[in-house]
Amino acid sequence: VRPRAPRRVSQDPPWGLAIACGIVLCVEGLLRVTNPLGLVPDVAHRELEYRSYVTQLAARAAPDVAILGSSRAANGVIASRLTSLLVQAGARVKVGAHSLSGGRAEETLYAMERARDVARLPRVWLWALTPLELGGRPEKPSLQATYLWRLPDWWRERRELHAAADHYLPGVLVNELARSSWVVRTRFVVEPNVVDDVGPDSWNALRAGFVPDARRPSLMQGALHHNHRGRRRFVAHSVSPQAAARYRDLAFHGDSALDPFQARHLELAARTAADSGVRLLFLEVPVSPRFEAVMPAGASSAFRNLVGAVARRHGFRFVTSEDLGVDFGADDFRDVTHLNFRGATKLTTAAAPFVAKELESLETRRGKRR
Amino acid sequence: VCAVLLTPRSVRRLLPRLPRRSVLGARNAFLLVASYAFYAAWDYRFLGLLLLSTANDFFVGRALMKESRTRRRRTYIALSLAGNLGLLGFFKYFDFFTHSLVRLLGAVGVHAHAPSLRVVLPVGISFYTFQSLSYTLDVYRGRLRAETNPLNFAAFVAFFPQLVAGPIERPERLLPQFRHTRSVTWSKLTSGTYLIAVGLFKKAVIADILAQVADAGFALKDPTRVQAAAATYAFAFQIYADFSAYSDIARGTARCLGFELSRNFDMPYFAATPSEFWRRWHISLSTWLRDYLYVSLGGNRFGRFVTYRNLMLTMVLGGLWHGASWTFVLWGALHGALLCVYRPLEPQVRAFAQTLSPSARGALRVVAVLCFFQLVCLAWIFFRADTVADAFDLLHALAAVPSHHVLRDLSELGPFWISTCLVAGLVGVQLMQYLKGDSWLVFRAPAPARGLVYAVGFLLFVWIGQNGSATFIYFQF
Repeated sequence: VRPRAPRRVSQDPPWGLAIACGIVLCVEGLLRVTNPLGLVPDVAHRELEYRSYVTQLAARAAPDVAILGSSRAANGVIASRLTSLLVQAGARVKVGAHSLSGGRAEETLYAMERARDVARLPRVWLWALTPLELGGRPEKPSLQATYLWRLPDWWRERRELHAAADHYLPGVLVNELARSSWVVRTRFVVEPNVVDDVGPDSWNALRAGFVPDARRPSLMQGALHHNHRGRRRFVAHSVSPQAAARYRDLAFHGDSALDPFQARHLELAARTAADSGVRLLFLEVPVSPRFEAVMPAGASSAFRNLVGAVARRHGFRFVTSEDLGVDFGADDFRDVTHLNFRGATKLTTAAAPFVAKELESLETRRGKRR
Repeated sequence: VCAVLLTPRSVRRLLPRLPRRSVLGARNAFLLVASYAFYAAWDYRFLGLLLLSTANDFFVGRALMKESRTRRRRTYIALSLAGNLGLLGFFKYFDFFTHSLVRLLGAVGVHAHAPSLRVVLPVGISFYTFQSLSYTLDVYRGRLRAETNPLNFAAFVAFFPQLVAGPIERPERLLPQFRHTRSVTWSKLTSGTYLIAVGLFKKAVIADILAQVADAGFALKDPTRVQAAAATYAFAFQIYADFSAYSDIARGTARCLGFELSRNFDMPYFAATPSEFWRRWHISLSTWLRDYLYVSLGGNRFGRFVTYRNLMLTMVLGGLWHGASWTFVLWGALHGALLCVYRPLEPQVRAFAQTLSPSARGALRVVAVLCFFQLVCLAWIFFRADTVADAFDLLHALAAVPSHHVLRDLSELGPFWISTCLVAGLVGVQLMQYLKGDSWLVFRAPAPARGLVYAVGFLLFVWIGQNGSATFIYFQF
């Protein structure tokens, strides 16, 4: 084939481009008509899990009580059980699991920020956390946090992170596009077609959180697939010293206990909750004794002091393990930092009265019930 | 930004006091600064190498122009060759040759330690050294007058659209474009943007999705026959989509700036013979090797044996140009062998084809294209495999007994079915272009058809295009 220069040299309007834009707009319209609430991705991938957070919220808004935090929160507090307990206590509420795997203080702050974008805010944010959520990261900002960023967040982070924040600007722009265009959101629906690194543990905590149904414990716990139907004994696994060391190295660099960057985001999160008029309840999630043994000296006490101080400063409550009054043994853990179903049941049951008290205090203040 | 800023009118508006005759110089200077900034963005430390190569060849070119004594001229051209090939040899092949030597000595019982310098390969060194070298060789052969303006020459060597992965432009084609006023017309802007969009689509949608299949297949320890075949075909289309995508983007960018770069690919998988394949694949490199290596070695002027030797040498060195590894050497050798085998058969094949009816000739061509494609794919195995042993393992898998679970085996290769659809689409479009004899078929199609293609391309780009994906394969060369 002999290459020939294009013959079309006239300055006609680009009709082809105009028709293409028209077709894309038609597709956008069709998607909007058929999916008035927005497309909700079926996620199985960390990036999608985070990005889907925005679309999930946009489509279904926030429930009354939203559980925040990392996978430790997702595994430690069972939304459906908490719903049942609160209903038994007289509070007709919907509990949603908004925790994101790997979510540290900065991701949790942005999860709260995104919840503020939707029309209906939750009444209580239950932040279940461990010292790991305030540990350091090898690089900043974390990629997961940027999946939740919007342009104002990028601008704010730029003051502190400078050029490091710019690195994630394309992702921020994709977030903005995904908010406004169903065509772009479709990307997150079809993504599993071309992503093949979906592990067996991948699951969608968010989707589960919007289904307050105790019959779906597997979705609620995700990793409980190994034992949730009929078997009584819950076997803890991945509790080897190597697993403990791996988790420690992920969160704590050297002998440093807590990361000031995460501590600052903890403070910002508390301020965000206070500004939004949402009660924030901090809940300490236990870690296995084996992990406690390898944590840097003073990490636990520094964590409690910090969270306690932040909670007091903003008028919130921090529920520690002592307040819960529950003993957790090795059989309560799925691995060194995550509770299994039995441990999660104990923690949720113990935490429910504190959540009920928060809801009660809200209603008392608003004068609706009493 | 460059396209807008680099029109003569915009330069005159920005710099109203600039004399009219200096406008072109200002535009070239802007391009040069942009090109150096582009290269420095990869690694500013290697900018020195680019400057060194540029300065060496510029002064050698000037000296060759002034000198008429053969001996002196040979000294100058040797200086240029030593400078360019020395840089290339050190940065690209030092570790390869020292390790190969140590292994060779070890095989004969002599134990030696190689001074492993772990030299980092500067981006695009293979491309700009060849481009710069072609200038001095052309001046030496008297085909080209030496460039007197160092700015033009530096801009020619460092021209950013094709700096890191080609096409390797000839000085007689690209240098004059820096000397004369370039116009950025609406036609050039639209066709350039079209080429960039096509390149982006080929890279982000086709190449990067096919890469998942190819990577999965080549990473398997014991692939089944169907997996080995699927991975090989996937890589064949991946490398074509990947490299031709970069060439399209380079041509499109250059066109938006008012330049015209040469075409690097011409539907290579529709080639029916080895020589036709090399007229269609990486055209700028194959013609470079033909003109400066094959012809310099004697070409086909000294009998059959020397011709075959030259063909083999050219292709082996062409393979080695791609990377310092025995897999590339074998890939080049395979193609050299194909050329050598086909060369004596070519007249007979042509004569036989002339005796056939047009429809029979067409059918013969289809069969030849399909058969030759299989040979090209076999050679790609050596190009893609990490080691020669891995390549032979895959060949062994191809010869194994086929598995009964074909669908299950294929589904293990990641997005195999999407890849198949994409390849079918690519081949379909190229087949239409081939049959119509027009590579701008889509660009020139009626507006509704063009709009549909653009819209489908955009939606596929958004929905399945890979973002943050791997760099272009040819960046490593």
